[in-house]
Amino acid sequence: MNGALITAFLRQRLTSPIRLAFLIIAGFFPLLFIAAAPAMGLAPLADSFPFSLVFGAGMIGQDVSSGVLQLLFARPVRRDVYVISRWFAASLAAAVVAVVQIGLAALILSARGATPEAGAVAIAWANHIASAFGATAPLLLLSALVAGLGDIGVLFLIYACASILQTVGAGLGHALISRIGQELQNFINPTIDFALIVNAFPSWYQLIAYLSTVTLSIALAIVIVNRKELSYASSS
Amino acid sequence: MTVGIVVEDLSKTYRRGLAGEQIRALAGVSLAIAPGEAFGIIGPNGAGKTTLLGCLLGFLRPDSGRVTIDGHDPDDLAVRTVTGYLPERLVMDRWMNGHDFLAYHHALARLPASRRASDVEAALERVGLDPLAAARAIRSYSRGMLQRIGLAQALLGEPRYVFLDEPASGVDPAGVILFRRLIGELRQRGATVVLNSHQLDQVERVCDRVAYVSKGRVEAIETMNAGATAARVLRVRWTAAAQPTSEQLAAHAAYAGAVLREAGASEARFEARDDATSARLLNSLVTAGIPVAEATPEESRLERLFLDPRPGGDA
Repeated sequence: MNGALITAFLRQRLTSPIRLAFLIIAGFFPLLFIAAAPAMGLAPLADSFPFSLVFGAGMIGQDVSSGVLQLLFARPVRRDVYVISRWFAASLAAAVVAVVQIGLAALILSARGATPEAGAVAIAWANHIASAFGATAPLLLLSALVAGLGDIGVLFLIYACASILQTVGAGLGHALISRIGQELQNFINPTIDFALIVNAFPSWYQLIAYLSTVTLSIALAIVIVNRKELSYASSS
Repeated sequence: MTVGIVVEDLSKTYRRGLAGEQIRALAGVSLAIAPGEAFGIIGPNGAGKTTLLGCLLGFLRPDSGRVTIDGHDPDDLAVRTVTGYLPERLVMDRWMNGHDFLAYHHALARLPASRRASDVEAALERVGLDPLAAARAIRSYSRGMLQRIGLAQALLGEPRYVFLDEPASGVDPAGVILFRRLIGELRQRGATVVLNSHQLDQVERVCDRVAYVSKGRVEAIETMNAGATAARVLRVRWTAAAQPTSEQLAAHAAYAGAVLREAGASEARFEARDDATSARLLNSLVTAGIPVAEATPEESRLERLFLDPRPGGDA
């Protein structure tokens, strides 16, 4: 990984007013919900997917469409290092925000007299960190495939297809169609439930699906970026 | 190990549109650029200049042929550490300020962190960007400022190979002078400069050799510091004190081996076939007491190359 790439990426993300606005919305509203309904505990904080989206959208595609990749790759920077640095930086940012959000949620719950157990907070932290690093990986792949912020469009298209397939599968009573929809959804938002692991019931399928989705997404993104031709002569 | 830049039989074809229409951008380009040489690439739009530069930088993969820089592939990290590049489209990280942008590229170039602050200050000073401008976001920069910050990043770390794509395009006269001074500095310290430009006068001033590229081929390579062998029309102007007749001017032209095209009260146009003919003609006029004030070719050497490129090159 490249420290300069990671630092510059994080600075860019944290100085973008639009991203910050979305970050506040994604981070603040669940906390309001928790404050209003403390009996639900940490449940309203589903996963880190919104934060991955805020930090990760366009993480490669915007560099491609803006043209800054030419200058960047004129430097001694390996393309695989660039891709992994992008993924790590976006994941790290999403994970940190998720950890802070859970911490604030725990404080709010304590103030409302519904103090969560330390174990539950630790599991929520682990789940959200895994979710941040997981959800950013397929987004990285889509960003390598589509220029600009097109990755968000493709992501929501996949999400819509997955939802339709699940609804149709349930309506027709067709398990395979529902399963395809479910797997599509798992692909764009891979998660691990650490509660199962802690309780000695690890879901090996879930674990392997998570790791393979993340690994495959990063590997494919590297292949795509490695094959990219960067001169505008190739597109003019 | 072969030093310098070597291009061997380079070909590149693009596929466009749904039908996959093939457009041949480079068709067997071969050339060699020696270390320390300033080498220009000129040619009409769509000639393949940018594609050639893209292959030299390792941004494009040729269909066949090879590019080596000091014996390495152009995308080898060892090459990238000694390379500077200024793109034609000055697309930079617009959210950064000029100072941070240079510090970022200093880090990417793997230059020592201990020298970062001093190197960045020196680079800013070199291109004439004051600290106030360097503290502003790049998105607020004018074209000229973008060109300056772009040049500053290209020259970070004193690269041995510098690739400049239209470096003086859209720049004010002060920027053009700065650009020429920087090229002069690069040449003094032995850097190899590859310059892709439409500004023929600038290319003619700073380059040792210039390749004329057309339809994906190197049609000619002109050595700028050698005697010109192509015919040119020479415009000679003298001070009002002299009144040479057309017959006298024609006689001087005939003596020198040139041809008088047109004679006026204070100037005349001669066709000279080479440098030696031009020199004989001017010597003859001055010896005869005609106070020659100015003698200029109507087209520059590179303009003539555009008009009448000789087939093949000397690479």
